[in-house]
Amino acid sequence: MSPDVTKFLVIQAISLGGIAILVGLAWIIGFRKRARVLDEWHVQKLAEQERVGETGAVAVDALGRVALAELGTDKVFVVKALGDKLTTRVFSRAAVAGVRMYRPKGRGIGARVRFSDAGFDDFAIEFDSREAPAWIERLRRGARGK
Amino acid sequence: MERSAFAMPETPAWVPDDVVTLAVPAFILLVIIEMIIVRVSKRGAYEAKDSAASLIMGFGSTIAGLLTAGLYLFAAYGLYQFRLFDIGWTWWALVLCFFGEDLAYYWFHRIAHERRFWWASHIVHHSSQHYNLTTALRQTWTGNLSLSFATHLPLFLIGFPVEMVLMFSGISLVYQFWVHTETIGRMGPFEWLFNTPSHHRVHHATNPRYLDANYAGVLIIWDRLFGTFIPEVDHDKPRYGIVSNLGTFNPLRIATHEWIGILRDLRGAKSIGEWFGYIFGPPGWTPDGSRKTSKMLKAEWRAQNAAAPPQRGAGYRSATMTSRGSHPS
Repeated sequence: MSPDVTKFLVIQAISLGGIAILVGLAWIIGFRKRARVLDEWHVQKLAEQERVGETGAVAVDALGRVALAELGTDKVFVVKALGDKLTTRVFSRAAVAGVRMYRPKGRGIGARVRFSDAGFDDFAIEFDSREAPAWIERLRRGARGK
Repeated sequence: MERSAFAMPETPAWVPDDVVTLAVPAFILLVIIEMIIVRVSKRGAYEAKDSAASLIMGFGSTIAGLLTAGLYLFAAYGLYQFRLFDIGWTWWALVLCFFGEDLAYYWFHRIAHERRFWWASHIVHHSSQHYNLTTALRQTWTGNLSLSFATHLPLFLIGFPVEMVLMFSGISLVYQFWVHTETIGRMGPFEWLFNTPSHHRVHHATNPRYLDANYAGVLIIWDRLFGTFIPEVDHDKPRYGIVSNLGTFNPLRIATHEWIGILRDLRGAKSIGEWFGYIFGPPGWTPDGSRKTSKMLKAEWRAQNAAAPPQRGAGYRSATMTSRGSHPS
């Protein structure tokens, strides 16, 4: 192996080591708070702050990781916990790329939701009830076939 | 004496190979110091996953930069053959090159915000909702591929040695590291001439008041000169991130999401004009105005303020702004 390649690899290894140290330190000293969606009222307050309009039916994940709300007939308001922040977005219903229902362990029902936006991860929303809220069912039917 | 097209003045021994690599140990030390200050003083914020994403983006950026450096060097040395002057490593050339590189950076940075093709690369740097020293390292993987170095090219045509421009570009990047912090407030007269944490907080903010401002690298004079300077005001605390915030810490998604967005929009374009608009229009441009550009957001904000001047301490939130509110459990 040439000295240049060796030097390059050593520098990259040191950089990765530095990253591990910094992230580890951030975790150890407590920078690992998690944001949580509290309830429907919380979602409505966020929608009000963002001036996205009045929300219709709201579905909040049992663990507070995410919430979905109807906005009129053609939009969806999404609140998603991302580390210690809550990210909010308005998507058109056409951007819902898929909703797949499943039975999570220890809970009633869950839905895995996918949007056609590369900057937004798929997410799971789970409920304690045996049936998903009607609103999620409508979303699933709308996304079917995509 | 005959001039060789390829001859480059000899680079002095004191010029470092790579200023940024040399600064990495200082970066690591300063991040550690900032974390401790934030923990103790509660001024600023960190989040481990966010920092991990930023640092991995920085690591990937150096790899991508090395893989694509040939493009930059090909253009730089190619144009240098046609230089107007033979400029050596003299003191006056160093001074001129410093100002020239900083002006070139200002225009690159401005274009990177105002035109979507370049924004697709630069958005990476703005995609964190946090503002700390790790945010400084959240860098694009596609900068050279999108020819983000284009504003440097006139410097080579003038005749500044490629190594000199690269040195000042590196110094500028290193300088810009420390301005990514909330732990430093205002800096008095220093702020008249230089880019500072306060100026750059404004640049990273999504509050309509602050959109598309303070593009400076080292010197803030360019923003003052070209009318893009906006000062930080106490009653409108910056909210960081992008207008449509990301819902991911995945580095691949962070690096590519806007490019994928452009491709998706192009699939639905109905004319050459729409194609052009989606690629080279301002970020947020759509033929039907269904999404909003910075100008539209600012105009809405101005109209709102004209109708009802905001209370001090009450920040405006736009209809498409994303929440920075958090409810840590």
